[in-house]
Amino acid sequence: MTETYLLDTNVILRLILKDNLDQYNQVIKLMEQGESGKVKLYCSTISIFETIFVLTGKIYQSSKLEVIQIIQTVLNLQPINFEEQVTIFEALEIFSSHSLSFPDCYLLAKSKINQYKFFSFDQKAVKIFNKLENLKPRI
Amino acid sequence: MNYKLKLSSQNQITLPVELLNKLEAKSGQYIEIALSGNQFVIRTFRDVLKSLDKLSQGLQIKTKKLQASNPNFDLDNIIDQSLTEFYNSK
Repeated sequence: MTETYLLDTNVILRLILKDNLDQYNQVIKLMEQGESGKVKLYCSTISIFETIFVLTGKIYQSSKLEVIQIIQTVLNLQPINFEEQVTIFEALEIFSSHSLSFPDCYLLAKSKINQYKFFSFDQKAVKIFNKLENLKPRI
Repeated sequence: MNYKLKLSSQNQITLPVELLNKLEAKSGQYIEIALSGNQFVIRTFRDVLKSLDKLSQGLQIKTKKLQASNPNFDLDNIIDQSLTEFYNSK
Protein backbone atom coordinates (compact mmCIF):
# COMPACT_ATOMS: atom_id res chain seq x y z
CA MET A 1 0.00 0.00 0.00
CA THR A 2 1.28 3.47 -0.92
CA GLU A 3 2.24 5.52 2.12
CA THR A 4 0.75 8.98 2.37
CA TYR A 5 2.50 11.89 4.03
CA LEU A 6 1.06 15.22 5.11
CA LEU A 7 3.81 17.82 4.84
CA ASP A 8 4.31 20.24 7.71
CA THR A 9 4.77 23.98 7.11
CA ASN A 10 8.47 23.71 7.96
CA VAL A 11 8.90 21.34 5.00
CA ILE A 12 7.46 23.90 2.57
CA LEU A 13 9.54 26.68 4.13
CA ARG A 14 12.66 24.53 3.99
CA LEU A 15 12.15 24.10 0.23
CA ILE A 16 12.03 27.89 -0.10
CA LEU A 17 14.65 29.00 2.44
CA LYS A 18 17.15 26.10 2.26
CA ASP A 19 18.04 26.81 5.90
CA ASN A 20 19.05 23.20 6.48
CA LEU A 21 20.53 21.43 3.45
CA ASP A 22 20.35 17.94 4.94
CA GLN A 23 16.64 18.33 5.58
CA TYR A 24 16.17 20.05 2.21
CA ASN A 25 17.70 16.99 0.53
CA GLN A 26 15.41 14.71 2.54
CA VAL A 27 12.42 16.64 1.18
CA ILE A 28 13.72 16.38 -2.39
CA LYS A 29 14.17 12.62 -1.90
CA LEU A 30 10.60 12.34 -0.63
CA MET A 31 9.35 14.38 -3.59
CA GLU A 32 11.21 12.07 -5.97
CA GLN A 33 9.41 9.15 -4.34
CA GLY A 34 6.18 11.09 -4.79
CA GLU A 35 7.02 11.67 -8.43
CA SER A 36 7.51 7.97 -9.04
CA GLY A 37 4.29 7.12 -7.20
CA LYS A 38 5.99 5.33 -4.29
CA VAL A 39 4.44 7.75 -1.79
CA LYS A 40 1.65 10.32 -1.84
CA LEU A 41 2.35 13.81 -0.56
CA TYR A 42 -0.23 16.29 0.70
CA CYS A 43 0.01 19.86 1.84
CA SER A 44 -2.82 21.47 3.74
CA THR A 45 -4.16 25.00 3.14
CA ILE A 46 -3.09 26.05 6.65
CA SER A 47 0.55 25.37 5.73
CA ILE A 48 0.27 27.76 2.78
CA PHE A 49 -1.15 30.40 5.14
CA GLU A 50 1.65 29.86 7.65
CA THR A 51 4.25 30.06 4.89
CA ILE A 52 2.81 33.39 3.74
CA PHE A 53 2.74 34.71 7.32
CA VAL A 54 6.41 33.81 7.79
CA LEU A 55 7.52 35.36 4.52
CA THR A 56 5.54 38.58 5.00
CA GLY A 57 6.24 38.79 8.74
CA LYS A 58 8.70 41.01 10.65
CA ILE A 59 11.65 38.68 10.17
CA TYR A 60 11.60 38.22 6.39
CA GLN A 61 9.47 41.22 5.35
CA SER A 62 9.16 39.96 1.77
CA SER A 63 7.26 42.02 -0.74
CA LYS A 64 3.79 40.93 -1.72
CA LEU A 65 4.93 40.29 -5.31
CA GLU A 66 7.85 38.13 -4.19
CA VAL A 67 5.62 36.04 -1.93
CA ILE A 68 2.95 35.62 -4.61
CA GLN A 69 5.51 34.42 -7.17
CA ILE A 70 7.08 32.02 -4.69
CA ILE A 71 3.77 30.51 -3.56
CA GLN A 72 2.53 30.19 -7.15
CA THR A 73 5.74 28.27 -7.94
CA VAL A 74 5.42 26.06 -4.85
CA LEU A 75 1.84 25.20 -5.86
CA ASN A 76 3.20 23.94 -9.18
CA LEU A 77 5.42 21.30 -7.56
CA GLN A 78 3.71 18.32 -9.10
CA PRO A 79 4.66 15.63 -6.56
CA ILE A 80 2.71 17.50 -3.87
CA ASN A 81 -1.08 17.51 -3.78
CA PHE A 82 -2.13 20.88 -2.44
CA GLU A 83 -5.46 21.14 -0.69
CA GLU A 84 -7.68 23.79 -2.38
CA GLN A 85 -5.00 24.50 -4.99
CA VAL A 86 -7.34 26.36 -7.34
CA THR A 87 -8.76 28.46 -4.48
CA ILE A 88 -5.26 29.40 -3.33
CA PHE A 89 -4.30 30.43 -6.88
CA GLU A 90 -7.43 32.58 -7.05
CA ALA A 91 -6.71 34.06 -3.58
CA LEU A 92 -3.18 34.96 -4.70
CA GLU A 93 -4.64 36.67 -7.76
CA ILE A 94 -6.96 38.77 -5.53
CA PHE A 95 -4.08 39.41 -3.08
CA SER A 96 -1.93 40.74 -5.94
CA SER A 97 -4.38 43.46 -6.89
CA HIS A 98 -6.12 44.47 -3.65
CA SER A 99 -4.97 45.72 -0.26
CA LEU A 100 -6.60 42.97 1.76
CA SER A 101 -4.96 40.43 4.05
CA PHE A 102 -4.35 37.01 2.53
CA PRO A 103 -6.99 35.33 4.74
CA ASP A 104 -9.58 37.83 3.48
CA CYS A 105 -8.48 37.15 -0.12
CA TYR A 106 -8.86 33.43 0.55
CA LEU A 107 -12.43 33.91 1.81
CA LEU A 108 -13.33 35.95 -1.27
CA ALA A 109 -11.73 33.36 -3.57
CA LYS A 110 -13.55 30.52 -1.82
CA SER A 111 -16.89 32.31 -2.12
CA LYS A 112 -16.27 33.16 -5.76
CA ILE A 113 -15.19 29.66 -6.79
CA ASN A 114 -18.09 28.00 -4.99
CA GLN A 115 -20.50 30.64 -6.31
CA TYR A 116 -21.48 31.60 -2.78
CA LYS A 117 -22.67 35.05 -1.73
CA PHE A 118 -20.24 36.68 0.66
CA PHE A 119 -21.59 37.97 3.97
CA SER A 120 -19.27 40.11 6.07
CA PHE A 121 -19.24 43.24 8.22
CA ASP A 122 -16.00 44.23 6.51
CA GLN A 123 -17.36 46.65 3.91
CA LYS A 124 -14.05 46.85 2.06
CA ALA A 125 -14.03 43.09 1.51
CA VAL A 126 -17.71 43.10 0.49
CA LYS A 127 -17.06 45.88 -2.04
CA ILE A 128 -14.16 43.95 -3.59
CA PHE A 129 -16.21 40.77 -3.64
CA ASN A 130 -19.03 42.52 -5.49
CA LYS A 131 -16.53 43.67 -8.11
CA LEU A 132 -15.14 40.14 -8.45
CA GLU A 133 -18.62 38.67 -8.74
CA ASN A 134 -19.17 40.71 -11.88
CA LEU A 135 -16.12 39.19 -13.54
CA LYS A 136 -16.62 36.12 -15.67
CA PRO A 137 -15.15 32.97 -14.17
CA ARG A 138 -11.80 32.12 -15.76
CA ILE A 139 -12.24 28.38 -15.54
CA MET B 1 -11.89 10.89 -21.28
CA ASN B 2 -10.31 14.27 -20.79
CA TYR B 3 -7.83 15.49 -18.24
CA LYS B 4 -8.17 18.83 -16.55
CA LEU B 5 -4.80 20.44 -16.79
CA LYS B 6 -3.70 23.17 -14.42
CA LEU B 7 -1.66 25.97 -15.90
CA SER B 8 0.81 28.13 -14.01
CA SER B 9 -1.91 30.61 -13.24
CA GLN B 10 -5.28 29.54 -11.85
CA ASN B 11 -6.52 28.97 -15.38
CA GLN B 12 -7.25 25.49 -16.58
CA ILE B 13 -7.51 23.93 -19.98
CA THR B 14 -8.81 20.55 -21.00
CA LEU B 15 -6.62 18.18 -22.95
CA PRO B 16 -7.16 14.56 -23.97
CA VAL B 17 -5.68 12.28 -21.33
CA GLU B 18 -3.95 10.24 -24.06
CA LEU B 19 -1.84 13.26 -24.97
CA LEU B 20 -0.82 13.82 -21.39
CA ASN B 21 0.04 10.14 -20.94
CA LYS B 22 2.22 10.26 -24.04
CA LEU B 23 4.00 13.36 -22.77
CA GLU B 24 4.53 11.81 -19.34
CA ALA B 25 5.76 8.56 -20.83
CA LYS B 26 8.24 10.50 -22.94
CA SER B 27 9.57 12.58 -20.07
CA GLY B 28 9.38 9.67 -17.60
CA GLN B 29 7.97 11.89 -14.90
CA TYR B 30 5.15 14.15 -13.90
CA ILE B 31 4.90 17.16 -16.12
CA GLU B 32 3.42 20.56 -15.92
CA ILE B 33 2.43 22.54 -18.96
CA ALA B 34 2.98 26.24 -18.38
CA LEU B 35 2.01 29.16 -20.53
CA SER B 36 5.05 31.14 -21.62
CA GLY B 37 4.09 34.05 -23.84
CA ASN B 38 1.89 32.47 -26.45
CA GLN B 39 3.45 29.04 -26.17
CA PHE B 40 2.86 26.06 -23.95
CA VAL B 41 6.07 24.77 -22.43
CA ILE B 42 6.58 21.52 -20.57
CA ARG B 43 8.07 21.92 -17.11
CA THR B 44 9.20 19.04 -14.98
CA PHE B 45 9.29 18.95 -11.19
CA ARG B 46 13.00 19.81 -11.30
CA ASP B 47 12.36 22.80 -13.58
CA VAL B 48 9.83 24.10 -11.06
CA LEU B 49 12.35 23.58 -8.23
CA LYS B 50 14.94 25.57 -10.19
CA SER B 51 12.45 28.41 -10.65
CA LEU B 52 11.67 28.31 -6.94
CA ASP B 53 15.36 28.43 -6.11
CA LYS B 54 15.86 31.44 -8.36
CA LEU B 55 12.87 33.29 -6.89
CA SER B 56 13.96 32.51 -3.32
CA GLN B 57 17.62 33.60 -3.63
CA GLY B 58 17.06 36.79 -1.62
CA LEU B 59 15.29 34.90 1.14
CA GLN B 60 18.01 32.24 1.23
CA ILE B 61 20.69 34.94 1.65
CA LYS B 62 18.64 36.51 4.43
CA THR B 63 18.30 33.10 6.10
CA LYS B 64 22.10 32.59 6.03
CA LYS B 65 22.57 36.01 7.64
CA LEU B 66 19.96 35.20 10.30
CA GLN B 67 21.67 31.88 11.01
CA ALA B 68 25.08 33.58 11.26
CA SER B 69 23.79 36.18 13.70
CA ASN B 70 21.72 33.74 15.74
CA PRO B 71 23.12 30.26 16.44
CA ASN B 72 19.72 29.27 17.87
CA PHE B 73 17.93 29.97 14.58
CA ASP B 74 14.85 27.74 14.55
CA LEU B 75 12.36 27.75 11.72
CA ASP B 76 9.57 26.36 13.90
CA ASN B 77 10.00 29.25 16.35
CA ILE B 78 9.81 31.68 13.44
CA ILE B 79 6.56 30.03 12.27
CA ASP B 80 5.08 30.39 15.78
CA GLN B 81 6.27 34.00 16.07
CA SER B 82 4.79 34.90 12.67
CA LEU B 83 1.42 33.42 13.61
CA THR B 84 1.35 35.36 16.90
CA GLU B 85 2.37 38.49 15.02
CA PHE B 86 -0.44 38.01 12.49
CA TYR B 87 -3.13 37.46 15.12
CA ASN B 88 -1.90 40.41 17.19
CA SER B 89 -2.24 42.62 14.13
CA LYS B 90 -5.94 41.77 13.69
